[in-house]
Amino acid sequence: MAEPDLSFFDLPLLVQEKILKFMTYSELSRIRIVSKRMHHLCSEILNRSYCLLEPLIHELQRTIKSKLPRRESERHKHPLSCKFDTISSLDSRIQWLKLTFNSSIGNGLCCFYPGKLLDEIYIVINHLQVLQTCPNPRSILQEVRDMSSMAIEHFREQIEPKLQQTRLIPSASTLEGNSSFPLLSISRSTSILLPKHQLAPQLQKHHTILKSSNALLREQIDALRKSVQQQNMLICSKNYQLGLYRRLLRYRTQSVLKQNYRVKRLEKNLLQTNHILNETRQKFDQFLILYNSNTTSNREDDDTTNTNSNDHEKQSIALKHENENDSDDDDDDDDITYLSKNEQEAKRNCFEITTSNNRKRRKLQ
Amino acid sequence: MATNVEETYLYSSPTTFKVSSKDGEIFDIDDSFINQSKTIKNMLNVLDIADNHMPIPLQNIKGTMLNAAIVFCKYHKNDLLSIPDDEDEDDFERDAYEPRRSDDISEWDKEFIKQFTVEEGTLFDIIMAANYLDIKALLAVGCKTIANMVRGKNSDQVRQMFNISYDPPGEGLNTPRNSVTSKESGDNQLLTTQEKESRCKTPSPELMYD
Repeated sequence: MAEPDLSFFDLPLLVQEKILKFMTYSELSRIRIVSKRMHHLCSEILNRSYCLLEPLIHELQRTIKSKLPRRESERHKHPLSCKFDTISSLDSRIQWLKLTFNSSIGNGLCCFYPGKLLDEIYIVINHLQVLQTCPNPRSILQEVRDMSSMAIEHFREQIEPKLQQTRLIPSASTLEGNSSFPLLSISRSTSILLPKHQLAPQLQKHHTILKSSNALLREQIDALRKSVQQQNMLICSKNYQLGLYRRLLRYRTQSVLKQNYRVKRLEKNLLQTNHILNETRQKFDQFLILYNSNTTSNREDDDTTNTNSNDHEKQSIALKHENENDSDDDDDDDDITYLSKNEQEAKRNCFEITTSNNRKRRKLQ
Repeated sequence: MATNVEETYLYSSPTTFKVSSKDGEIFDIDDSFINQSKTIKNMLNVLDIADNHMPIPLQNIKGTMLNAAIVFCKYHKNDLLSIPDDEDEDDFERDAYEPRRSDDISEWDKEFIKQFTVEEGTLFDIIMAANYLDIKALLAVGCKTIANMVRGKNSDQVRQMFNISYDPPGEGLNTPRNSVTSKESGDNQLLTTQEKESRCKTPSPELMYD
């Protein structure tokens, strides 16, 4: 039975990587187009090599710096100073590349595709490691400088706009793009993926709609942000006013409480005066009744016989009243200080009435 | 150390063993093979085979491949000392320092590997056999040969050479211009995008959308 021929992907993953290890980075970058699995494999190697650049250069820089003299003037004369300068300028180039590529590589949107640049950088690093002295740093870094600036320019002009467009589609692409494990796509066949391929125009349409609506949404967001700011200012002023009103309310409640207390005191005084008035009225009524009875008895009986006794009684009564009135007056004088003017006048009138009544009674006697 | 003692035992006893391939062929192996193949070396150390007339079964390797590996090891038996026996040979950090070159194959190795071709599927077979037997020199020669073959070939040729079934790239930017799927789907927009990409002098990224 004839066995099926082995393909590249039937080999173990380690062997696949070993084969790719013998290819240059520019080759790896080129053969990514072969298939998806090849793309994942090569991208992974390119990214790994790119990420390794910075620590490699830093390590090299550290070792050379340790060999250099500390004094600046001596350092310039040292044969390793040229090497150190080359590494420093290489490091600055890597930093430029990092600023450009790192975010996209980190998000899994693309790999470090300039393989030729990577080859050139590793050649320079090998030179620096192997050679004791370095030739002119300008000549050795010329290629790296040109290629890195070309790569950065190409990325900014060609790739970045495309990446910005792809960010708007949060579909399964990110999942598949990030999956660096090539075994996941082993069982894929054309029949499964064809419907996805047919979806392309729909996705593009969706993409354009999203793109156009994006500007509108941004404007709306700006307007909303402004209104939110206005509302915040309004809320601040309202809060200040509310604080003022709260203070005013506290002051008013305090004054109302004082007024209540005063009203209660006045009510109490009024009750006392009413009570006194009732008492005096009762006494006056008793007196009137007594007086009326006396006058009727005088008309019926003899005027002379009982006058002495009556006089005596009346005098005793009058004296009693006077004493009582005197005591009442004293009380009234005390009370007047706590009463209002009207009440005091009413009380005075009442007192005058009682005194006038007493005088009349005396005259009559 | 135990392993050193065992190794000295192996080195000091110039004895032969028998191995049987997948298709039942039996071969005699000597020190040159045992010392270069880590798998066989470990197997002998672990199993402690006393009877050297009993063949060791190697069910993953065809007879032709096993024979080729034995020939290769016999030729390279003197290179044994020059090859460093590193444990972390697959250390990526160390690999990064090394120049990625595949043109350092000796003439004899070139002639040896010529008998295996990708078209017949035997090159991958010998690589699989070298990987299974853990013969580093043979594996390196095979890998370097493949790397050399890829150089300068376009994607279709690479696909054909590697016997890779073409996975449809969907609307990704890495859609090849002459791909069957693109023609069938008639997606002109994608083709133009790809054309633009291919015209760029600097390498372009290949995004996977689908």
